[in-house]
Amino acid sequence: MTDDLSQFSVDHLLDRCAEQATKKSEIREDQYCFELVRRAFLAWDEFALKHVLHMYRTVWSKHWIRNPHELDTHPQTAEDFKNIAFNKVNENFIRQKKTMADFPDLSRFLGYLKTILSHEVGAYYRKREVREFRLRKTKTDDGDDTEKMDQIPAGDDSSQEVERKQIWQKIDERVKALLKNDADQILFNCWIKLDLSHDEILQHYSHLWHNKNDIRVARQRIQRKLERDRDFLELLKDLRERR
Amino acid sequence: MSRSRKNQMPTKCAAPPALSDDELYEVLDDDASPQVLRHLEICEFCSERLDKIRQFERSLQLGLHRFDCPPSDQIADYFHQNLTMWETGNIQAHLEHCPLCQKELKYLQTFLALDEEDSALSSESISPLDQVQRLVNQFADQVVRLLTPENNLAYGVLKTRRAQEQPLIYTNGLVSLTLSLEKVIEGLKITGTILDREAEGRWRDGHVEVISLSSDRPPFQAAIDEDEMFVMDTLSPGRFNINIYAVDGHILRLQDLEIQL
Repeated sequence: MTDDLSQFSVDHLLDRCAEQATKKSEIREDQYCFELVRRAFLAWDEFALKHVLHMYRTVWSKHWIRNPHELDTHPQTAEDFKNIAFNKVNENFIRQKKTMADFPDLSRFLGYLKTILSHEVGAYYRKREVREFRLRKTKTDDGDDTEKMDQIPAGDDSSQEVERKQIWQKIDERVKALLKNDADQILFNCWIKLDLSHDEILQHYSHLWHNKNDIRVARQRIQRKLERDRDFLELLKDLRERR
Repeated sequence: MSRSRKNQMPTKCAAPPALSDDELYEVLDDDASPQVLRHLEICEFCSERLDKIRQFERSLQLGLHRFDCPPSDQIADYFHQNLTMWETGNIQAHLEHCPLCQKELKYLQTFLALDEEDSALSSESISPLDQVQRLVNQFADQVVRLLTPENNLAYGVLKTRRAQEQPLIYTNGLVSLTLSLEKVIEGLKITGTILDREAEGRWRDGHVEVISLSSDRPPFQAAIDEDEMFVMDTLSPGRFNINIYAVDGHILRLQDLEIQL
């Protein structure tokens, strides 16, 4: 007999959903949990949404977030990530007009929730790393900021992103043309793109450079080549203008 | 290191011989000898040369930092094995020579659980309902608080103000819910006020669900305002359970409330 799920209250669905967990997989029925999700996201049942929100927030904290204390020293807490991720799911359902066909069963939906959460965690880590890098680079030895904080871009200004990518591509090609030595190209990546310290470079590439002095000599060579190349300097100037 | 702001750049070293490029790079790397540092203190020519090198390096780094690193979403999708074979290959190739992306992946691995047990939620072979069941149990243990009628009554009976002089109070010692009832055109109207001695304001913007035990109709719903009050005005007499949800996940539950005219 097929139940008419639309008649059940949220509370009743939760009870039935939980009840299924005790059954073997061959006879288990997922539709009650799924109906909860459907009401929350597609029927815009505000109360189902809040219920599902709570239900899966706790699932995240108990089963998906391994080490919430990792974030204790950082501004955003594990709870913030859960809130942000769940709001993002909500927005995606509105913006992308998701349908039930996108989630043939509950496990796929939960997988989707988990992916969204990890996207938020990854984005947070990346933004934090880029911001710390820029703060590091914009201080002089006297500790003054050569570039005010409000001039440091957020890094994701989509209106100029396409142009920046095109300039990056040209810079990449020009660097490869100027630095014909593979080791120089690797050093350029480590030093300029990744801002690795000499110790880190030596740790990863001890077969290319034996000590810090070797790296220093190679850096000088690279910098002279780049400073003397008018095309490269023009591209760099273009890039600065699009920040 | 002091810098003077003259209109003209110094044209020669104040204390020859001028520092070599090697020595200037040693300063950038914080490896310079005390003599080199003393030289820079007295020689603006060499200081300017150092500044020029530093500024060029800085403009390169600021402009090109991680420009060919994949977006963080892709690293996360790689982590969850959600990429095509081609995309996975590209990410793997990038990871081989990018310690920053390796660190990012490690951060995700540390933060997010992806072992066999926890991958149950994204695996079709193991039902997520097991997780839901655990969740419901934890949920009930941790945040659901049962309120009972004051004076240890077995269940509460709510009547209109004309029939019941005092409002009905449900409590668990820390949280109390005061209910009053009145007759309106649409039916019966309940007004509820929550007083939480443990966390003032917790129930603001929450919601209330009133479930009929005597019929199969969908639950009645109401929002809780900023004064932690709610109103529900289309009820009929009968027996009800009431669930009250806070935005932080706490729940209050009343069982078997009888509403009479």
